[in-house]
Amino acid sequence: MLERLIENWLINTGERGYEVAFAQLLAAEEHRVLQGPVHHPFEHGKDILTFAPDGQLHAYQLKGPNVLNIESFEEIQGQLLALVGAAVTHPAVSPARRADRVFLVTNASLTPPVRDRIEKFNLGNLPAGLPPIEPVEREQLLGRFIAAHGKYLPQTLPDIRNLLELYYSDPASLFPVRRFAAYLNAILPFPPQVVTMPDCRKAVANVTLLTAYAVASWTRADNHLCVAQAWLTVCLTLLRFAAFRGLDESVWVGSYELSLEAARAAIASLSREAAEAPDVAVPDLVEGLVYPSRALIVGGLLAAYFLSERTIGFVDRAGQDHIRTVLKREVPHMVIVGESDVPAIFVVALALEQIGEIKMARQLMVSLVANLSKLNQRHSKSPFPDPYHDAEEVLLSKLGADSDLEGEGFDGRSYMLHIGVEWLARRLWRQHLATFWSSITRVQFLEFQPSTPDNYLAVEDNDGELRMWFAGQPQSWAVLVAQSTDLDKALLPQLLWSRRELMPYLPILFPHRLTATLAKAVDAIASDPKA
Amino acid sequence: MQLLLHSTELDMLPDFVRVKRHTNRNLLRWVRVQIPELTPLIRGIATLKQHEGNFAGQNIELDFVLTREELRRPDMEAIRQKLTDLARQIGQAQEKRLLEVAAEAADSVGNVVHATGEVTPDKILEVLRRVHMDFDPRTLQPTGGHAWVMAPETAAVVVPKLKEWEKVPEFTAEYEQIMSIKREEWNAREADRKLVD
Repeated sequence: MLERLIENWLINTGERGYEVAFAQLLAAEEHRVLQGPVHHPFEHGKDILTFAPDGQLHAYQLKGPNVLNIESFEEIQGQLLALVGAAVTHPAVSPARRADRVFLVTNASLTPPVRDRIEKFNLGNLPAGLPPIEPVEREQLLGRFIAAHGKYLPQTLPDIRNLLELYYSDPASLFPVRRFAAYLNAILPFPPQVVTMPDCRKAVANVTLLTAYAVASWTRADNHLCVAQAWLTVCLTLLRFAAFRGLDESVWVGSYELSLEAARAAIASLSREAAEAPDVAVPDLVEGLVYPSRALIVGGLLAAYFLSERTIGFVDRAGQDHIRTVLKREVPHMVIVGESDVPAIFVVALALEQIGEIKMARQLMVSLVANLSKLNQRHSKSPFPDPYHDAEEVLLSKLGADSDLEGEGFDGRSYMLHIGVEWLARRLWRQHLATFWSSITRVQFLEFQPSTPDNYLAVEDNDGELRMWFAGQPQSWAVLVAQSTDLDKALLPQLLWSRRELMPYLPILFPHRLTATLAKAVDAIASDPKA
Repeated sequence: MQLLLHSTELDMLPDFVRVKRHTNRNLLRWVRVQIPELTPLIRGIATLKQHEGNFAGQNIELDFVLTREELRRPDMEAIRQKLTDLARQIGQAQEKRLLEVAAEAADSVGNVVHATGEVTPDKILEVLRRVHMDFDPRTLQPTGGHAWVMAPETAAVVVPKLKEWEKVPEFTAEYEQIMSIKREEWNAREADRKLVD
C-alpha cells in the first residue's frame, strides 16, 4: 500500500516537492551531500552536489514532470550544458573542476524523442571530454525510494493510517503539528527499543522521506507556512532523537540540515508573498472571524524566522524589509484567543525590537500582560484557555462547536503571564508592572517543567512536573529583575544550544513548552544571536 | 471527567456515532453542572486539567450501569436520574478528598482546634481566629471561601446553639472584634500586592 502512496506522490509532486527527499535519498545511499537543493543564479545547472561512496563527484539537475516532450526539454538545454560543462566551486572541491558524473533527475518518464536527444547531446559532448548526462526517471526513483526505506516504512496500521491521513489532508487546513510530532516519535526507535547505529541512520533518513510524503498536499498547494511547520517539527524531533540516542552528528545532521533548509526556503517564500500582498486574508464571508489569528500565526513564524536567521548569519536587506513590512502591517490586527498564541506575540515583540520598532514591541507586551492579568482572574467569564489548546479549537469552542476544551476551566491561572511579566522586568518597565501588579498577584502562575532538558523537545512528557505559584506580595523589584535575567542554560537541551537556530521556533511549534527559562533563552539570542 | 463505556457483545454492528457523541457531550456537560449543585462544599472550587506529567491527583472510578432493557427502551428521565446519582457520587468523592487534603494541610502547620467534648463559644471563636478570610472591597463583607463542615448530628446540636450565642452581646462583640482584625489582616495583604524596591 505504501509503495502505491510513494508512486502516487512521485507522479503528482513538482520539482520542489521531491528535491529534499531526493537529497535525503542520496544521503541514505551513503553519498556525502555537499550542497542540498538550491535555486539561485549561481547554481549553474547543479541543484545537488554529492561525493558518491566511490569518491566521485556527482552533480544533479532536478526537474518536475514538465520535461516530457522535446520542446520543454529544449528550454532546459542551457542548464544541462552548465551541468556538464561548468566547474563546481565548493570548499570541499579543490581545485574547482567539472563533476565526474552528472544526472538529469525527473519524476516523470521521458519520451523517446527526449531520450534520443540526450543520447545525441552526450555523443556530441564526448570529444570535449564532458561527462554524459545520465537520466534518472520516475521508475528508477520509485525503486530507490522504496529500497531506502527498507524496514522503516510504517508497519503498524495506526502509523499507516496517520501517514495516509496526512497525505490526503486538505491543504487549506492548519498543519497538525502536535499530531505530526507524535507520529514521528512513534516511527523513530526511541529507547527502550534496542537498535544498532546503522538502524538509527536509516530511521533518521526514513523520517525525512516520510515527511516529504506527509506534507505533499500542503507542498503542492504552496501552503508555505504548513510546509515550514512540518519540516521544523522534523528538526525538533531529530534533535531529540539524537540527544536520547547519543548519536554522532554524522548520523543525523545531514537530515536535520536538509529539513531545516526546506523550512527556511518555505518561510522565505511565505515572507516574500506576504510582503507583496496587501494582507494575509483568505477571502470568505466569515474571514473576519479568523483573520486576527492568521495574522498572528504568519507574523509569529516570520518573527521566529528572523530571529533564527540572525543566529545563522546575516539577514539580507530584502528579507528584512519583507519581515518588517508584514509585521508592521499585521501587528494591529493580531489578537490572541488563547495562551497558545502567546509565543507568537512573544517572538513578534522580540523581532520588532530588533528591527527598531521598540515602542510597538513594548505596547504589544504591555497589552499582553494587561489582558492576561485581567481576563484570567478567578471567576472571569472569558479567560484565555491554556496553551495546550490551539487557536482553532478555542475559536470552535467560542462558537459552541465540539472542541478539545470540553469541560475545562481556565479562570484564576495562566501559563504565560509570568513570561510577559519577566519580559517587561528585563527591560526595566517597572511602572507598567506596578500598575498591573495587584491584578497579577491574583492570577496563579503555572509552568510545566519537562522531566529532562531534552524533553523540552518532546510534544508530551509524562514524567515532568506542573509548578504552580503566585507572584510576590509584595514583590521586590530587584529580585524580580534578577530572576528575569538569570538564565540557567543547563535547563535547556545542550543540542538546542548548539543548534540555536531552532530555538525561536520551539515555542511557536510547541506553545506549551514556553517556560520562563526558554523565554529568557530566546530573548537572549534575539538580542545577541551568538550569545 | 471521562466516560469509558464497556459492553459485552455485538460491538461489530454499525453505530450512530455522531448522534451519540453529541448527546453524550450534552449529558456530560449536564453532569458537570450537577456536581457542585449536589455537593455545595466543592462549589466554587477551581478545577484544573493537567495535560501531561506526574499527576498529583487521584483517579476516581465509578460504575454507571444501564440494563439491556434500558438500552432498548430509552427513558431519558431514568437516565438523568442515574446521572444525578453519578454526579452525587463524584461530588462526594471530591468532597472527601478535599477534606482529607485540608486536614493534612492544617495538621502539617498545626492550624487545628481540637473540639473534643462540648462545642463552646470559645472554641467557635478560636476557629474563626484561625481561618483565612478575604473581603469584598466595596461591602467589606467576607467573600466566602470558607465553610463549616459538620456531621448532621453535630450540626443539629451546634447550629441552634450558635443562633443562641448570636444573641449574647459578649459573643457578638468578640465576633466583631475578630472580624475587625481579619479585615485589618486582609487590608495589609491587599496593600502588599505591590512592587517594592
